[in-house]
Amino acid sequence: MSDKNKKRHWPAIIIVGACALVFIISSMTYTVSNSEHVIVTQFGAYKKTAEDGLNFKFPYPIDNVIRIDSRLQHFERPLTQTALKDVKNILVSISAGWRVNDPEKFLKTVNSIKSAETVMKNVVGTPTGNVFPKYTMDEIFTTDPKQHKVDVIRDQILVGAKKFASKYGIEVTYIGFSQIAFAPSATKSVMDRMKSDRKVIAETIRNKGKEDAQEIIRKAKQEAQSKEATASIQAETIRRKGEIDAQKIFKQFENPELVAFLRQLESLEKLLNDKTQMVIDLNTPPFNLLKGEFFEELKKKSKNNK
Amino acid sequence: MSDSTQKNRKYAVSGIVLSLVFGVATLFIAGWTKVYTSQLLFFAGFNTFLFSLFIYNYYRLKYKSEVEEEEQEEVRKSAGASKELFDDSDEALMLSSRALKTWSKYVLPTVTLIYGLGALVYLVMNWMAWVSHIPVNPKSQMAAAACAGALGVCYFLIGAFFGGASKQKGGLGLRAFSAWSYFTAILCVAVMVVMFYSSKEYQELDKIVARVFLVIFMVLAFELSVNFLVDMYRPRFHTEEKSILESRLLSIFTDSGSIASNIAHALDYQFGLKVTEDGFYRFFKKVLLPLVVIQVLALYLLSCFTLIETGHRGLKESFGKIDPNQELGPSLQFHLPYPMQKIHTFPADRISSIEVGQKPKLEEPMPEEPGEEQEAVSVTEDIVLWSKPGHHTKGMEDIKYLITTKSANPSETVKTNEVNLITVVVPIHYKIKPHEEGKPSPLYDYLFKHADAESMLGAISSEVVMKYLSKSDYYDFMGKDRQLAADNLTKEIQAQADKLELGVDIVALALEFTHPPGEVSKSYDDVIAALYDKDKLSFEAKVKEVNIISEATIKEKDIVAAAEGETALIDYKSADGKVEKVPMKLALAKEKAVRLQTQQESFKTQPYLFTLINYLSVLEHSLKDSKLIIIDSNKADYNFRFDLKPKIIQDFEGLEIPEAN
Repeated sequence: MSDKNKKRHWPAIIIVGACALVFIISSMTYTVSNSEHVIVTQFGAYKKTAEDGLNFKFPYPIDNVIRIDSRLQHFERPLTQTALKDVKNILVSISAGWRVNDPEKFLKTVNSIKSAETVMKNVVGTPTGNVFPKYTMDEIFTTDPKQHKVDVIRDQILVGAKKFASKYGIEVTYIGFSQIAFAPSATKSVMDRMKSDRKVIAETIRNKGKEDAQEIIRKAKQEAQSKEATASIQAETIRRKGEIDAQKIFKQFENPELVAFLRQLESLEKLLNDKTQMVIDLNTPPFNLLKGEFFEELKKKSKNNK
Repeated sequence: MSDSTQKNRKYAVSGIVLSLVFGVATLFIAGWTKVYTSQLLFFAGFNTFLFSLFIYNYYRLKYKSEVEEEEQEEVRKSAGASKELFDDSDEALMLSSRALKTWSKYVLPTVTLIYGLGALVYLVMNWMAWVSHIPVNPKSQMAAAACAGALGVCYFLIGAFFGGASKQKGGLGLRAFSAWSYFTAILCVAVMVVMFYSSKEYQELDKIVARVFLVIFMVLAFELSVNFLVDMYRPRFHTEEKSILESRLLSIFTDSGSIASNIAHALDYQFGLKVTEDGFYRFFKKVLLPLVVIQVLALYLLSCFTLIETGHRGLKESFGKIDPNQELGPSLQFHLPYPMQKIHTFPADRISSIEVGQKPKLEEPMPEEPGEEQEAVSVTEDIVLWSKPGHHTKGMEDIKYLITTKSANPSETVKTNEVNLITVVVPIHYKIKPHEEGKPSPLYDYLFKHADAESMLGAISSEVVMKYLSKSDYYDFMGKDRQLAADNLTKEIQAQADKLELGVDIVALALEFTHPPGEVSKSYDDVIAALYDKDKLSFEAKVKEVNIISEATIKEKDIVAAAEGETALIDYKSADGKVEKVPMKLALAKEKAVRLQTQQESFKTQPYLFTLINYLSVLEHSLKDSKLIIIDSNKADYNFRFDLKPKIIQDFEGLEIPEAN
């Protein structure tokens, strides 16, 4: 190759050389972040777990690096029915915080973070199933701090989960109950009961209202009666005073029959009115005139006088 | 016979086979994914196949023409005749050459014109149809993306192969096939990207990508339909091959050199301007490679600078390792280029929020109690009612927490049972804790100790809320202890977050939408209604009370006034003419007494007459309008019996008087 040709090709040579260099360096080095575990395998067999930072290795396929997330992972177990000591069933949703603490064991037993989801179901589910049946509903829902055992249950499940997870190179650092609920049918019953409670309260309030209203009216009537009675008494007192004076005058009269007669007439006048319907005997004056006896007698008297 | 023509003919055959196989693959992907872009991919695959047929036919005719020409030459040689002897018959005998000419001159331009216009109409119709058509959300996106990518690689290899073949002698006809293969490969990549991001959030991407490619297709179809016109006016050397199917736009894939070279050659090709020989173009071509290299280097060196903006904080990563105790504030940072060093920035001062107490609504909700909810929902949209489903956030449903009860309810009349249901929505606002010198970085904790710190915060918040409710009294929590509960929850969540090294500060926490579940809330509303009903009854009773007392007071006053009236002093003139002030009752008595005295005197004189006159006077006065039945009781033979039972009437009128016995 002539010098001219060599000069013409040197940029290409540099570029190709640089690319080759980058390729070689990248195939022999790797970095390890703080948020991951890196396992190096040699011809497929475990070689070492790398330290954070820049590391060296033989190029693939001699050495191979497998990266596993070392950060705390969140696992959520959906609402699952669990029995309690008092034969009451509840649904418990559990969240867990876990991380890979033994990458070699994890790689062999679980292999990947995604596969760990299946393992975590058992890691959390097994101790949950073991611990909850030791406690009653009253120990989970109570306002008495001494009786409240949710923290104790959680700690016991955490211990069980840690033990279980250690077989897989997993460390469980946190367990929490996201939700505790009743089964749908029981939830509906609780809601029905709450409705009934409210109904009782509402009716009680309404009835109390009715009672109060009646009481107010009763008292008002009593007061009205009282007022009327007081007024009547007062009126009678006033009248009595007037009548005492009048009585002095009436005492002067010597003919009580006449007074009685006049009083009777007064009553009769008051009692009879245009709506009165009467059955009157023919002997009653002035209707006795209809009999004609009076005129007969008068005729006789006239004859006698003659 | 030319070997190159035979070879190109074979290439064209393989082109047909390959484009048919991969065309079927595009049809399969279009049917599978059902996104807009994949529909266009099928169209591109179909075009590639169609063009391969045209190209094959061209080489088939060319091959036959050359064979024919060779045979003519052989005949001419064997006959030993002069060339002139055969000249007249040549044209008439060379049928294949004539067919090739006809194909190139008339058939191909006509077909491309018709096809180009047809394609244009088809594409415009597609554009209009896409307005109303909503693509189905694809399934197995990743698998489809992988298939599209693999198909793209295949088309790319086809394009590269036929592009190389087109540079050989007589291979220009293959260039159009190569260009369309490259274009189909790019569409495959586009489908792959669309499928990769094809979720509900990225459906817009498909529309955008598809519309861009649709416009390109329209331009290509238009170009194809006018290609023969442009070709007529193009200056060309007599010996130069022409490829009518080739697109000037797609030639950027197939022509040698850069895009600039393509443009320059296109200008040469179209207008004969000889741009390729221009000084500027030569200079441009000479410096372009170094320019590109420098540009790439400059871009790479830009990775040495990181600007941490206000409100952001950063963490420096050196060869993958981060110092967990060191944080970088807002500034311009210089560091080694990627991948040796890089800086992670995060808007650490920004307040983020999560909500506890809700979960995505299930497709099939729990059966609800009919009646109550229906009634409650019949209110306007902007009124937030507890009983209104999804009144907090659309698409979410409230979690029904269990809560205990220790005492009687506020009315103190009815004892309730132990466990009730309650819904609480707890918005929690948080931000990354400030970094203290020499202490571990909270930002590092948040970003690198947790795979998803926010969901972990959500989990611990849910747990704290659930636990707090499990030991709280329902009525206290709903009433007087609300603020206390919020404070306690803040403290407990903060403590848990610190324990798990989340690196966050709880800025604010609120208890919103704390109420009984929507299904029973109407019953709670009814209690409120009952309280008002009670008040209503009370007010109504008070109205009655006021009326009764008022009436009684009036009556009382009337009675007293009447009595007082009777005793009021009036001027009384006695029989002797003396006027004096005496009580009314006394005056009346005196006057009565005087009258009685007169009556007494009259009575003494004529007792019978006096009494009779007065008696009759009263009867006349009182009974003048009354109804009277007069009976003569002295006649012993007459007995009257009134049977009032059959006719209980107030009036005796109509009463049948029985016959006397």
